[in-house]
Amino acid sequence: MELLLSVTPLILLLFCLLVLKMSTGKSGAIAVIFAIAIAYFYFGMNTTGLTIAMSKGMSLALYVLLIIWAAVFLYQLVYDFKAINVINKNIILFIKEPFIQFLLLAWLFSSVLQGIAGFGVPVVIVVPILIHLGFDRLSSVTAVLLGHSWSVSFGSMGSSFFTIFLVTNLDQQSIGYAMAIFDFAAMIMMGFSVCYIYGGWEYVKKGIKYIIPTSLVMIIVMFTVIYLNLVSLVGLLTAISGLITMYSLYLLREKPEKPKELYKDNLNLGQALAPYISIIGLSLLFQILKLGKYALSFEYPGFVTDLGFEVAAEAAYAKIKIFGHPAPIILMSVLIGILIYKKANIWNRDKFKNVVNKTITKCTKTSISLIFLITMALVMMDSGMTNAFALNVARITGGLYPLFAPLFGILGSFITGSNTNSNVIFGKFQMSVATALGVNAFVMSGLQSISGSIGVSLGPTTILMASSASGLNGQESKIYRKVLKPVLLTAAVLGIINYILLVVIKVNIGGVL
Amino acid sequence: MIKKLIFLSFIPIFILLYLGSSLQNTTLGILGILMFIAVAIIQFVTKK
Repeated sequence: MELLLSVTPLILLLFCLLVLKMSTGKSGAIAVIFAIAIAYFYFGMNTTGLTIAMSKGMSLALYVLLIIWAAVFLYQLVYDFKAINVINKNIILFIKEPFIQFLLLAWLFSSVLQGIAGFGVPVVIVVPILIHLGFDRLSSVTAVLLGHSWSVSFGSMGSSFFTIFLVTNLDQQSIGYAMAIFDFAAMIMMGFSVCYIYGGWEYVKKGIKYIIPTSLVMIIVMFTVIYLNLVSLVGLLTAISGLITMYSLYLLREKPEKPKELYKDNLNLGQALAPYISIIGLSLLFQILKLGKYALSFEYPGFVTDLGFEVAAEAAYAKIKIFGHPAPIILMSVLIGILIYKKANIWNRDKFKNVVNKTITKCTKTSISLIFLITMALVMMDSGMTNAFALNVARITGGLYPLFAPLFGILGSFITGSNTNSNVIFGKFQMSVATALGVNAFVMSGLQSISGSIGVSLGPTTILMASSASGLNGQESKIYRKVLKPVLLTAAVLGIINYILLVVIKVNIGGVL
Repeated sequence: MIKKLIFLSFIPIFILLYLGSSLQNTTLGILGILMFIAVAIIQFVTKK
């Protein structure tokens, strides 16, 4: 009964989305009502607990919504002032073959962006570029969602990576090595998924000659950067090495004609790219300057449910750093874009008003869905529902648990939309199960982080960002259906590798069990 | 229009919930929870 009730809101959400094909807003609304009712009537969450959990959910939603509004605003600006046209024409000049454009942008360029900014930025930047290059909307969205998912755990300058070793208290470098083993499988699987989305099995075969050598170079770079302890740069340097390798392979194999000159219209390529380059530059600058003290955050008291589930107090919840949160950085880049458009004499006040109106229309629906989903996630976590579900599954599966372990990383990301949050919820749990089973805790923790990484492609936050950026608002169920299979397939592969490492080989990373 | 109203209604709900939790005021909290549920029901029954 407890197992069934603990997972009811999620089953209901998926049923409404995938079977009844309802919009995310409606599905989220019904799922959150059920989550509140189950938490109150079965899991002993009183009104104080509900108030705190729902308020936490809404403050977390604020954190994410600021990114979505800023990113859609930037995209609309770049689109309406035709800067995206200049970027696309130049991509075509350098990479003539559409399949290579698709694979390089969805699998590697999005991962480079994940290495720097993360938080959905790769999706909102790369999806519109692919669509304007002429690729199908749904294929572009699913390819980017899956393509960059392998890089989430080491991305965002290492934020998820930091979380997994903070919650498990295990050695940072050893967890890094364990994560790299699983990430090698994840990057290959996601590369092939992108190829499959592009053109089925024929293109999976065609992609082998690019994906395998590129992944080999990336895994060597990944291990080296972890060995050098440059934790924040693992994702970025690995993805850059992959991008360079794959482009070099393309030049060597296809020997394309060199472009005589760059394409330019009202803007040249540098001007068109300036807002995006600013995002990268400002993200790096603010990380170096460490201006984290200027921040807005929320304080929440701790509480205990009637069933005895303890929730700790939060001193600075959903911290929005003025010089660190992506929204202010994106808005600064928007400002740079506006200055450039004015200098290039293409600035138009009416066009700008149109940009603002389109942003409001696109973001309102997304915002409503997101508030429901994040509030549901917080109610489930703080009432002990998520914990009860995990404990029950671990009890039922017993010695076969390593095979099912990736599902928790994915579940954590699915309900919260974040690899970091998935690691917060399940990191310690996975380690405890590994200790109880007498298997290596580093491997299990590494698996948690990487499965959480691929699970981000199913996260409602990311999916809603992608649907807003691609104009597929209200068609999220289509995106879910297309993303679900490759994620579950990759989870199965990760589970098998985990089982082999832990039960068959009994690998001993970190020197302890 | 209804979507914009639903979206805007989250602002007072958030204020009520946050004040309810930080001031440990049950009345404000319950009011916030009920308003949130009401908005979720409106969202569910709204056609577009």
